[in-house]
Amino acid sequence: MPSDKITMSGEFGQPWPEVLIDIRDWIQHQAALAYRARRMEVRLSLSRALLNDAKARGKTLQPQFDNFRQKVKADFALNVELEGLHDSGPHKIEFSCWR
Amino acid sequence: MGIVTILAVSLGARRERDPASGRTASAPSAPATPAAGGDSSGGGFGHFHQFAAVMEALHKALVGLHQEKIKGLKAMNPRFGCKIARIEIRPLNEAAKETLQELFAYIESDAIAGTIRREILPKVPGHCFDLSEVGISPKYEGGGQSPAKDTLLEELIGPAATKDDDCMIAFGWDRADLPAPSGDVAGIGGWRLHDAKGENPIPLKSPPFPSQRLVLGSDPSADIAVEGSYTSGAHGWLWLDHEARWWYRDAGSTNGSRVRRPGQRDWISPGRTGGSPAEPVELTPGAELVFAAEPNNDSRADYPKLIVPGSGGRRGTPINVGAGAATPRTPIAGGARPASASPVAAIRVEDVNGTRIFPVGADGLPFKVGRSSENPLPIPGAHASVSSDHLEIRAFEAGGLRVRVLGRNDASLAGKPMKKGDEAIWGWGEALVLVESPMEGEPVCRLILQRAADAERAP
Repeated sequence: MPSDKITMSGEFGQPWPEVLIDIRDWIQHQAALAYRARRMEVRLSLSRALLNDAKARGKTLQPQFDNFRQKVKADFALNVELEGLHDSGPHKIEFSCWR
Repeated sequence: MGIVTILAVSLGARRERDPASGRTASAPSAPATPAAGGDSSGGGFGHFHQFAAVMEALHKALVGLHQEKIKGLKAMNPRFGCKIARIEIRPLNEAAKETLQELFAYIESDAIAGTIRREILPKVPGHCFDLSEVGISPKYEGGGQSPAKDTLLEELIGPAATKDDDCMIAFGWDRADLPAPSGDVAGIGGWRLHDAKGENPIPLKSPPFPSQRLVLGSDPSADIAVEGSYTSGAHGWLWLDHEARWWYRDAGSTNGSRVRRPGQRDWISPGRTGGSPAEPVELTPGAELVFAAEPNNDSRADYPKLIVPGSGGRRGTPINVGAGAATPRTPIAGGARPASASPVAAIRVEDVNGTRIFPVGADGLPFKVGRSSENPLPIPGAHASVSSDHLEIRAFEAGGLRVRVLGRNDASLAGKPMKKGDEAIWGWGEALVLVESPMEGEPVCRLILQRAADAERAP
């Protein structure tokens, strides 16, 4: 049923790759709240500006992003779907669950 | 949130594969067959043979976006709509870049966007895309010399393109929920279509977006299927404007169209035979639309007719648009906005402290509800997920109060989720819960809207 769906959204502007820890913690919090959900989904849109900033500071995007996805999958049985990249602003995340 | 989805597709034009290296290289242009989405409106694209390949790529990408991202969301929420504001095409090799440069040199991006709306979109089955304000552009990175690649995306998820893909199409989109479905789909439930199948209501599958063009015609992919011996595949377009008026425009059909407004003897022919798209005509209540410009015979199997109910006493057909559309609308005091400071409504607050009544008068609007002590209706701190300013009570409306969610933990109105930024009409007697998904052990804060008189009578 449509009304069974709950979506929470978050925005994260911390530096890469530390931001992945904050995002993981946020997902953990949402997953705990939705522990009885029959389905959960995480959609991520990363900020091109923040990623470029990380690269300018000499940071790599991989393998941190893969590790992050694998850890979320292992810990919460959740696939983090990378929706794409947006140009500026913080990284954006949506957590949806269906009860 | 604004989302960018990038899909890799093949333009498939102007290139051949080098058998030694397996790489693609520029090749002399070869005339392409007209695309399934080729222009049929007389817009003049037919001479440009690469256009077909790009249109095919765009069609494939839109189908991919629908299948991979949107279909699931739509299945979960029938009201889910996807408003695409931006389409960028990024070539991945020099041949694709040349093709795009040629295309955009010859054809205005607005014209390309229009063709996508008219010709490509109807061929994406079951879509819920709104392209009414879309912009389309190429994106050449590296000063126009090196092939453009989305290096960030590739670094994150690896090369998205297969060896045959030569361009990336990026869709910038956001959700834009459709009006709540009801028995009367956007106010045209009473419209009648007389065609070869007989007399039937308008067979509209889902409510339209304002300004979304609905294709009427005999093509199976048309939004409104019209069966007639002389009806074109895409005979005309119907759309609703933001002032709730319906408009019709002949799409340059073979036999044209004509419209007669109530009380008038003469027909207007918005599209003469075989011409280019004609001027739009407003379909006022009581109007008749015939899918033929010239009266030939009265056979509706040949020349279908669409009849708008009503006598034409007032212009336009009221529609329910927006999140509050499903709310029953009951006039308050004859529909007039209360002018005095005396309360006409009361909010019954059920929170951790028990139950209380908060009177609401027109003069006190707008105001906010939340944990901030500065709010006229403060919520106790025990409701930790309630934001300082969680809800804004904006104005009286017929049927209740217009409200907007400000808190990031959302809300629910009459059991339906409301996200941050959503607006709706809070109907009389409906419960509004301030947090959609409270933390475990957190008390629920429920607000119930009552008429002031009812609140006084309540124990």
